[in-house]
Amino acid sequence: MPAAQLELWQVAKRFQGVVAVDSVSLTATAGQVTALIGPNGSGKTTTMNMITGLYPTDAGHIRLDGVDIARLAPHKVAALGVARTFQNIRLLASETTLANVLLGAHRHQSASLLDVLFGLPAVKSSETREKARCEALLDLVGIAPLRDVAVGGLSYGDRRRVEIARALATKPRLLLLDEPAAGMNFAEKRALADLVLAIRDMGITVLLIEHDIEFVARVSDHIVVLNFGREIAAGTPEEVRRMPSVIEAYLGTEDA
Amino acid sequence: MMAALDAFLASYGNLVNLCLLNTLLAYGVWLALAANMFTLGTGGFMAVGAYCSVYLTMQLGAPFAVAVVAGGLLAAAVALVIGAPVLRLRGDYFMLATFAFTEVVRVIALNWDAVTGGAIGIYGIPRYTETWQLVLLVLIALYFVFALRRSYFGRSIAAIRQDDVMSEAMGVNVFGQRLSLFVASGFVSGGVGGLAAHLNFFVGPSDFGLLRSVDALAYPILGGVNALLGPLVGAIFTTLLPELLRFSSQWREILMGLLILTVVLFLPGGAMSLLSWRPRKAAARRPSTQGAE
Repeated sequence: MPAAQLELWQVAKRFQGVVAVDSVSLTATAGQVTALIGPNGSGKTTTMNMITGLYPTDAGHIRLDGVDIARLAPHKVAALGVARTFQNIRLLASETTLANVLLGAHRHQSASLLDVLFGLPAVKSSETREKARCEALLDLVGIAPLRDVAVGGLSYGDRRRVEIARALATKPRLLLLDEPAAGMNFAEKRALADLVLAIRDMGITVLLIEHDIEFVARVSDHIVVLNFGREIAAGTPEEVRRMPSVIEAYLGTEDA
Repeated sequence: MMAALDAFLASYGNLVNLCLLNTLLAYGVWLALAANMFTLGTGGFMAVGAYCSVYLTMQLGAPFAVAVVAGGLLAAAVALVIGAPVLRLRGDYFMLATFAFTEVVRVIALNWDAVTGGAIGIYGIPRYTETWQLVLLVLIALYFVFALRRSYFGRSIAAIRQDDVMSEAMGVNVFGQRLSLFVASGFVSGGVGGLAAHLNFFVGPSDFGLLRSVDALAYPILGGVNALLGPLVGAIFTTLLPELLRFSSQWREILMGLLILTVVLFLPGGAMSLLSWRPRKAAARRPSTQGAE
């Protein structure tokens, strides 16, 4: 399936009067890596939660290849090919790496409930197929040896990789990464950057939230900067780095 | 051998039947509990199934098997109707709403004399339920739960129990799965209601109240939700314990309460977690050494 194009137009979200996202418009171009950066509390994760259907929007449009997905339930958004990872890693700690990733393959299982209850061969073939696919993904993100280890005991960086593998198991056309490099060391960040570029080259649009500017500059084709729930700048990494408004948002004004 | 079994059933037959019936009910409740639905609607569903099946056998002369299945189906239909609004509620509110449902059913049973016999209930129900039928049904339930648990549905149900927001983002239809499980739970509870009515000669409004719902909820929790045999162990244990404590009726309830409290406090995974205690500790140690490499 081809990479999907994501368009947000004047999207807003308020929580009991507190404006989390005031008005955000952005485009994640199909087949590119787009980064969403900005200070803490600027509305990045809220935006991501609206895209995936976890929060209903208060205003604006969210279009995936032209189709408005703002009112869809999360599992329906996922069915359209939108997958994500979570800032505060959300894995099933007592389950193995493979079992966690297999959850992402849920919607691609072809056996019905009746097949399952009566132990028909369709169950086994479907499970074998998805297992093989998930194992290949573990290999891709570089955690194949941890296949049968309970996720709760993994390092922070490895758990982030499990989340990425699980998201890829849904066969996404758009992948949302919420602070994928947080808590990683230098070498891990380098490997992650290569992984993000490899995912893009697989024909998956990537939208990522990240604080590490070096990392963002390395992987992004396009950067959108948020502050106080609005986009204040957008452009290539080189352009954004030179914009006074961005420097101001991150470092404050000189005479302040 | 057969003679010994006959002799055993002659003296303990009622207890055996009760254990089997409660085991079946425990798996019915497990279906709901597996996706974090702490339902107190079990008593209500049992009542619907019981009165429906009794009406069919006694008033319309329907065959027993048809009556029990019809009772289960009616309870499932009721679960479908109340499930749609009730499943949108979270935690405590879900419990309260299902409890309210059980109360409503009890009040209807108390007042709809033509079908339920009102406060007096219905006497002289023919005894159709037999031990072998209950054994067969328990085996079927065990097999279905076994097949469900090891399938990808079992995986998604376990995921819903632990983190429903994440599950939904991964493409699991959380509401759809919860509703299906709630309806299935209603079906089993309704069926058990029908079986119980045709075992005890009598049904009355007080048979299926809050207490019945709480008991049914306790079986899988005490035995362990994560283990296949948890509901069975919990149901048999909870059914037999009052019999074992018969030597003192005053201490019976107190000891029973203390025991439940002990399990909940010290074995949050239920009695079956005792079995997997050691290996789990070892498994938890393995990855930490890997991290140190």
